[in-house]
Amino acid sequence: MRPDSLPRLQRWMQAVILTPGDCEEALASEAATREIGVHDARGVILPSKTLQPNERLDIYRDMYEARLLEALSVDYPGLADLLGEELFAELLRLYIRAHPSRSYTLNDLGDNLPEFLRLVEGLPRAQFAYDLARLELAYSKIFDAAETPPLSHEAITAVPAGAWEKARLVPVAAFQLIAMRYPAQLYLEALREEKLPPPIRRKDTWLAIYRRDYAVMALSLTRPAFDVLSALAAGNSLGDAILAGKMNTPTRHRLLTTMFQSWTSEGLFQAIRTEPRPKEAVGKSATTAGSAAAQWPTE
Amino acid sequence: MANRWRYPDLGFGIGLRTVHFPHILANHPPVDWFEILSENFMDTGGRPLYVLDQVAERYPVVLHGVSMSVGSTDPINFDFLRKLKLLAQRTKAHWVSDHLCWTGVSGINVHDLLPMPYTDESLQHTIDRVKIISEFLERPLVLENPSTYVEFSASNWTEWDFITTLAEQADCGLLLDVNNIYVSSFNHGFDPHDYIDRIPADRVVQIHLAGHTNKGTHILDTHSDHVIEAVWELYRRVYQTMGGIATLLEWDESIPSFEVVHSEALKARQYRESPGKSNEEAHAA
Repeated sequence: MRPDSLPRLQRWMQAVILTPGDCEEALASEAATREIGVHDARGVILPSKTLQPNERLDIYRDMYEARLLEALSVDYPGLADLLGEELFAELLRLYIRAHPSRSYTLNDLGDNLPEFLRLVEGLPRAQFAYDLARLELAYSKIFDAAETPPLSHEAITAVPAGAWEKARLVPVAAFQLIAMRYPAQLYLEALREEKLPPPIRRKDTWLAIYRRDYAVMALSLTRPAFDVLSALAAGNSLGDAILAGKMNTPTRHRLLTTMFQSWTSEGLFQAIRTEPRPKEAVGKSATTAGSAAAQWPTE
Repeated sequence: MANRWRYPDLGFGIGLRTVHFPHILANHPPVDWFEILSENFMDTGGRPLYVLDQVAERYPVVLHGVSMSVGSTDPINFDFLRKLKLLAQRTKAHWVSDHLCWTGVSGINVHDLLPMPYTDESLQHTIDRVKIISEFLERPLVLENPSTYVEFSASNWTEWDFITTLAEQADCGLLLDVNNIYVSSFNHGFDPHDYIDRIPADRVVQIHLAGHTNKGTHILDTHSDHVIEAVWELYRRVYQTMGGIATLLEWDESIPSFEVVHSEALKARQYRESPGKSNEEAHAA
């Protein structure tokens, strides 16, 4: 392959753009020299009347980092606020090196950021930062999730009383459950309202993130309610889901009256299936919720 | 002069931007047409898509993308094209455009409009891909000339000859970005009039106008300000040479109110209506 062939030129230029440090370091990097050696690289780009080749390449190198950092800042305003501008930018630089975009949309760029945080040593308030990032990612995903009409009152009343135990409630597509060690939603609410964030105090928190009238909402749940919703989202029948909640009788009664009404009025479900579900499918959800239904952070 | 596909001159449009959603939905302003950034709507089922449906119901729209990576040596992303085609059908888009550029290789997306070397090899490569993409989309792809900041020593074509030959051999349309011609002419030291005069008018279906940022040593295509007078004069020359073509004002950074953006777009009308300098005078200037 000629040194200036199109595939080689493109791989070389991308390597120069993605490699951190100054342009000379990028030109001498392993990824760049694999395509074009340092000596030959000096002749690839022409100078302009005002800029040398390296300065011209730096325009693309600078824009790459600025564009990706801006996109991530839009997706993670809470994390940015928590860590402060300088630390957040340094974290993102490390992140985009580890996770360059592999999608045609910048919307997916931050998908690995919460898990990446767990690998960063010495991150201040690491568990809270992790919870906050997971919550911000959930908000982004629910914002863009498909719109599915919620269950109507008629559909609920049409279910025969004897069929409820085996009935399966299908959550709307814009629905996700999240369990956290800290109430990170209070931090984000304060930021949105331009108030001082509350003190960061450890408190197990369970939320349903969903969308109503195109606005993303967070519903606080008890642990049993979270377990029931997780089981339902995973495709279990209402009877099995209630067992998963490990509730005593009064709690179970309250769940079946107050909570269920609250969930349906909030539009958390899109359908009731009364026919038996194929055995192999139970436990795997086809909804957004399924993938995150039983997420529980480990310390 | 009408383009060869008889795509309409839609008048003076603006790019649909999130900050203007409430104003547009509440007031239904009298805009001729909107340009939609395809990638912003291809993977959402939420409010952006709801707003887009409302806009497409009421206004003519065209789709404009940044991620097709027409010039890349990576395989064509047919999953992306499939979603793009569905979006074009959903919005009844008049045409679908992207850029003459590549955005990444080896599975990575740099999310930038990276420059093509203007060589025989890259010309043939791009012709082949544009043909495949147009066939898949079942409509001629429309390609925009990007702003560029480097020139490759390997290039043996001028940009305007490269893009003209590409358009003719791949049978695609052109989105002529007048600001990008100005930006690249400053960065690379060519005469923008030469560029405009060589472009085949019957392939140009849309014009872009935008503001930029002059850094002294080079100009960045930032879409962050009003259109400068020199770019308006180039627009006038395009009109004199090619006639009325759907014209779109882009504003993507420090976006002002809807009224400011719309009135900037409508300025284009006066450059069509007043004759201004002759081509010879403009060239001499």
